[in-house]
Amino acid sequence: MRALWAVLALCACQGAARDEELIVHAETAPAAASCKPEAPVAVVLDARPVGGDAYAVTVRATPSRDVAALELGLVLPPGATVRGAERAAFGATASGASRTIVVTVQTAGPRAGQLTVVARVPVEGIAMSRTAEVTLGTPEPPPRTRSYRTADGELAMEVRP
Amino acid sequence: MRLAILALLLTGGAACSAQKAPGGGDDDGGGDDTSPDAPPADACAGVPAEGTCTSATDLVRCVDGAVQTEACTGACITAATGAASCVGIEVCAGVGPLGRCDGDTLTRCDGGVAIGDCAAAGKTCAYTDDAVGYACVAPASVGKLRVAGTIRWEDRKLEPGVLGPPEPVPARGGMVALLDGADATLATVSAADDGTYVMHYDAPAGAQVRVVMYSRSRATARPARVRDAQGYLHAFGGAPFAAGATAPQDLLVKASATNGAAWNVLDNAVTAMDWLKARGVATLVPVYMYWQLGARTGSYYQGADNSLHLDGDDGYDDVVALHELGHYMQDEYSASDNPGGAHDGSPADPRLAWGEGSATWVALAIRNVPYYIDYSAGGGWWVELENRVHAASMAGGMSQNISEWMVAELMFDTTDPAGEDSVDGSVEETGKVFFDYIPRPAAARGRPGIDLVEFLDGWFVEHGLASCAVMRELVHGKYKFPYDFKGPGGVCP
Repeated sequence: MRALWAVLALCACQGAARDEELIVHAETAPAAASCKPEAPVAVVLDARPVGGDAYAVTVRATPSRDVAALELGLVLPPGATVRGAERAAFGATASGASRTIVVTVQTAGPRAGQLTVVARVPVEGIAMSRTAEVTLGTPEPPPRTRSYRTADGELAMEVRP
Repeated sequence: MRLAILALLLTGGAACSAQKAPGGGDDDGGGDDTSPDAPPADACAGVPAEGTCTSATDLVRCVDGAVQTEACTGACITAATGAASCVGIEVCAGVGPLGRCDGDTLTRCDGGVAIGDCAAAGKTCAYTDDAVGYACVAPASVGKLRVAGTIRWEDRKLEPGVLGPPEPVPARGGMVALLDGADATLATVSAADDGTYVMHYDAPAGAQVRVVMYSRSRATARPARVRDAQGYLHAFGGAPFAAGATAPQDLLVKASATNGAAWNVLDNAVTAMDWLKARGVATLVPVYMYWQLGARTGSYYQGADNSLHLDGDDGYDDVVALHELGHYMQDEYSASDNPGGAHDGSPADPRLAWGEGSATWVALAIRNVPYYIDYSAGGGWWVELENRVHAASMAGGMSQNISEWMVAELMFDTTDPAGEDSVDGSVEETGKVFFDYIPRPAAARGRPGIDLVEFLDGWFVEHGLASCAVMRELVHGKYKFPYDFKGPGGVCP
């Protein structure tokens, strides 16, 4: 019996460790190297599995300049539902101040899907947006590929049907 | 040009061999036709009723006993039956700078239309190299086996907030190769603009080979390639088949494929390079584009190595790709003193506003659609740049910070017909300033370096002072930019 408890305890610990490892994280921010116009806001998205194909999702948006308004919204994977506000509109937000939403996303099953957060801020009368995206569930297997050099020496990565 | 001449010779040869006596008969001239209604037998002096080509663009035929001449808008071609006809320039839509083979019929569109039957000259239609492309060549000079087909990819039409459903389109000018089971290349060609290709090769009987398409345009007229974040060309391979099989080998890269958008990125480069050619740029410098699904690189251009990086979610963002190609054009064919860094369209250093705004103008002008669009999940964002005004301040100086949107808006106003604005312009007029004046400005006014002031100076240097009134209405009236109208082109009244 003592051995059985030990096994159960080990499984529980391993389960907890796996959950930590399964936290999915994404963040995007105005890139110094980027030359395309970008929304002046950084976005961080964390999704932590809480069992039963559900995820505790935390979104944090931080503008890099004073903005008159800040809106956060989620684009859910197909079939997923959300407990909590799927959208949130905040008023004027100072540069460096963060706005956060915390929700639970229930996916339709273990199959992977993309969860995207969209942060919108008005700049010069334009509703500019930035996204961050994570994959919830088991990712699709990568495509079959092979790499080699072409006749003139250039490297190529070939996807096979 | 050499090939065009060859093709014309082939065409002419075929036409000559098909000539018949008037009336289409094969008698000795038809001189015994005594019907009072019949035209004189030699009234057309040997010109047949079904016509014959007398030059690359001239067709003559015998109609009611009289010779009629037709000047073809494209080319005069002779069918296998011997009949001649005119074809319009529209036959060039699917050809491109390297020509096209359809069986042994070669079509070239180097300045004009030339269609020739290679077989009639004892030759075969085949790919020669990346400068010439498809040509009539001696059969002994190419491989004994032949494979042909069409390569395509799925486009998704970009509109504000929307990406359309996948739609197959030709991989214009795309690189195609034939590989054996050990990944050794047996032949490499470029597709025509309708996606068709022809490859000649040699391989042992029964060997398994496959056709592969790559995200690269090899033509010297369109030197562009798209690599993944690790520097590998994107490639898509077909199913292996036995060497010598004659069935068409068609490939289609689905939009859902992890590398599907690479061909959209490449297609934008092809579009941009053709646009440059149309603006008189003779020699194009290669551009090395980098895109990979999921990569978070941001989107930017680096002049040091002509590398253009697109963010992972910008694969179908035509406007973003063309904006970055606008930076490539500034680097190679115009000029910019853009200090760089993050920007969001709010008033900024006028040199940054010029660098970014004129790059956006390139995208708008190529598409002839006044929208900047950056699509992403949830719709992304966009801005209309024809009716919207991001004005400056008449109280500020010529070196004041301005919005990159204002630069794009003003340049687009000088590009489109009058209506929404006072200037009746064209891409050619605005492009002349962008390509001819900006690289060599006569004076540095406004902020030191290239900015909107240099563009306005260049406008009057290139086009004179006739447009002073409408430009004043545009620059002062619409955009509230305090340009002094006293540049090196003269002083506006």
